[in-house]
Amino acid sequence: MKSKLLLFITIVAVMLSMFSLSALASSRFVNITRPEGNEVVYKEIYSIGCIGTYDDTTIEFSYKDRVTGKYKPLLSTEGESSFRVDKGNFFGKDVELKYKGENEIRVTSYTKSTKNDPQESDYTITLAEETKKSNWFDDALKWFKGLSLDDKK
Amino acid sequence: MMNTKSKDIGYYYEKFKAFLLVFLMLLCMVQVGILWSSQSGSFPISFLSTFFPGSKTTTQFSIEDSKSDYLLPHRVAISTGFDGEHYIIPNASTAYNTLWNGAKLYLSQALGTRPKQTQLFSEDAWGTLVAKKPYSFEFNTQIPIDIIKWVLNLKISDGEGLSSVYKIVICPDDPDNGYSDTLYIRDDKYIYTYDVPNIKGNALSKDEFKSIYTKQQSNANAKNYKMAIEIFINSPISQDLLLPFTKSTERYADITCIPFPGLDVQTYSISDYDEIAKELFGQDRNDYDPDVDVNGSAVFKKKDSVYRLYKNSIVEYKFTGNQGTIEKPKVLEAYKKAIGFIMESNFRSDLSIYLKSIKEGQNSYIFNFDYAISLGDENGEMPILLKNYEIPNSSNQVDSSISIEASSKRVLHCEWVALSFKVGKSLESYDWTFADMHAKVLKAYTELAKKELYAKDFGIYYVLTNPKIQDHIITPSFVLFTKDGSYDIPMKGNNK
Repeated sequence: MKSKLLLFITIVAVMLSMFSLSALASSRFVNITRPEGNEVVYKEIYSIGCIGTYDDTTIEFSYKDRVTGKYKPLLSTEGESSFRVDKGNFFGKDVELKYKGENEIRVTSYTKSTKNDPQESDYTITLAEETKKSNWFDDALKWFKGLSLDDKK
Repeated sequence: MMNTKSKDIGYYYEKFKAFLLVFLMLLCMVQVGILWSSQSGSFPISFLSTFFPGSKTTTQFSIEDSKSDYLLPHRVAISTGFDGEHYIIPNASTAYNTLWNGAKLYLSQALGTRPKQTQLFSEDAWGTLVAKKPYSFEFNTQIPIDIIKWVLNLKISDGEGLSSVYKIVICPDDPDNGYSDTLYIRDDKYIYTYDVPNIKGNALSKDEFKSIYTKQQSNANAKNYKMAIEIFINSPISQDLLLPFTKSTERYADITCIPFPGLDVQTYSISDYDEIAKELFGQDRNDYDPDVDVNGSAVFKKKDSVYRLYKNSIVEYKFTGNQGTIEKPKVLEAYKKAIGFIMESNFRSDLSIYLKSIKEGQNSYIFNFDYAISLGDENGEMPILLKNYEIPNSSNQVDSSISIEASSKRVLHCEWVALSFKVGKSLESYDWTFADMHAKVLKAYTELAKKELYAKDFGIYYVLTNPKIQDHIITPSFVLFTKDGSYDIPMKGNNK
């Protein structure tokens, strides 16, 4: 009877720890709102946005150097790569993409107590050539400059 | 001989009696007219013009002439596309007027047809439209379709199926709508898509866009913002908000707030009353009997109305006459009465007035308007927001510059902040981002940490707080609007 009770308690304890670990792992220090996933963009300046879910969270941007294969700090257009955000705060910075084609970007976040176990989110942002199909504004510019297809004919 | 003479006298006497009778009948009509006019709260002589079908009364003429001055979008923006450049066009600038006039043409033509498509409103769908399409226009509140139709001189049958207009997006040659000129309207529930074929003139054409876009690009004070949906997707923020994502340097003047003249005395003398009445009623000042109430406020009474001027420059009007039969009010008729009242008022300052909200009561509508002060054509206008402004010796908060309660027949009540403003000559620079100011608001208002905070809107405002009798200077503040209210933080100038 005693051994059965011990076995039951052990099972419950193991289950509980499994659940709490997964819950902890799923709670993000920041909610990254942009990028939503891997993206194809056409401008070298790219905006990263997020909202803090814990107070005093540090956010760092880095990119994978194509030569060394290692991650290096990615500076914002204001010249910084490390930032602090509190719970409920909107946060966003513009960065300059390093390469044409694929850029491997990492957003690292941690709190004071989890500095040694930071959360990392990796994205591939592809900087494509400006060959996207024309939009309303491009047409407007062409029209204004007299460069529309009709004019060329 | 004598007989002929008495006959002549009798003849003239009869003639005199007939003339007197006609005169008395006319006088009677005048009296009835005066009573009629004073009952409806308008000027006593206005009824006379009804005898001349070709003419309009001063009020009617002015309302017809100026009705579009009171239907202004509080935000107009242009966009080069999703992830592109988005510029907020300064209110009251030449570009603003050009774009709004073009939008009115689009609206007029579109409302003559039925919407091509109606879809349920969603933050994402609307945010994407505003980001992608070149022109967007936004009112402070849902404008009932009857008011829109009246201002745009449309037919009664126009705008079928539409109850109000809140926000508008326009895209000439819209690639998402078969390259038709397209207008999108948003109310609180739906997004309506209208085809607008054969738009008149050059309205909102590509060269007009290019011209305004180029001007904004080269303007050091231009507000080139990001759209919330581009950065903060699925976040607690209205997805169509334009925000300074990276540091934006903007220049604003301080303003001096000047109270209603003659309030800085303990007791009013006859000449004080006369001066105040002159400010309030102009040439009609003799129609009102001055008095003072128990709280020291100047009171001016007429047969069926009372004006009260509080020490913090609030003018209150109350209709005290008989309201007659009470019937369900019509929003357009009540609105006409409200703006007619504003136009007739002597104490209105030379400020732009934006309709902020409309509330429906049991037998009336309450129209709330806010002031905006011009900082010069290139710098546009800055709105004025009231905070903790209240009627003295009461708990009544006044949260709009002008609040008018009107039925279909007349204005019943009005509270009007009768201040005037002087714009400072020098401009101060302010560096700010939305994220920084939002964080400061969260820090300053600790109670917000407990709430689920949704940023409905935000902006830079002149916030009018503690009512003062002397002139005082107001600097710009950042104001965040949530579902629960507004939260403001003074901006810190770069040289302060």
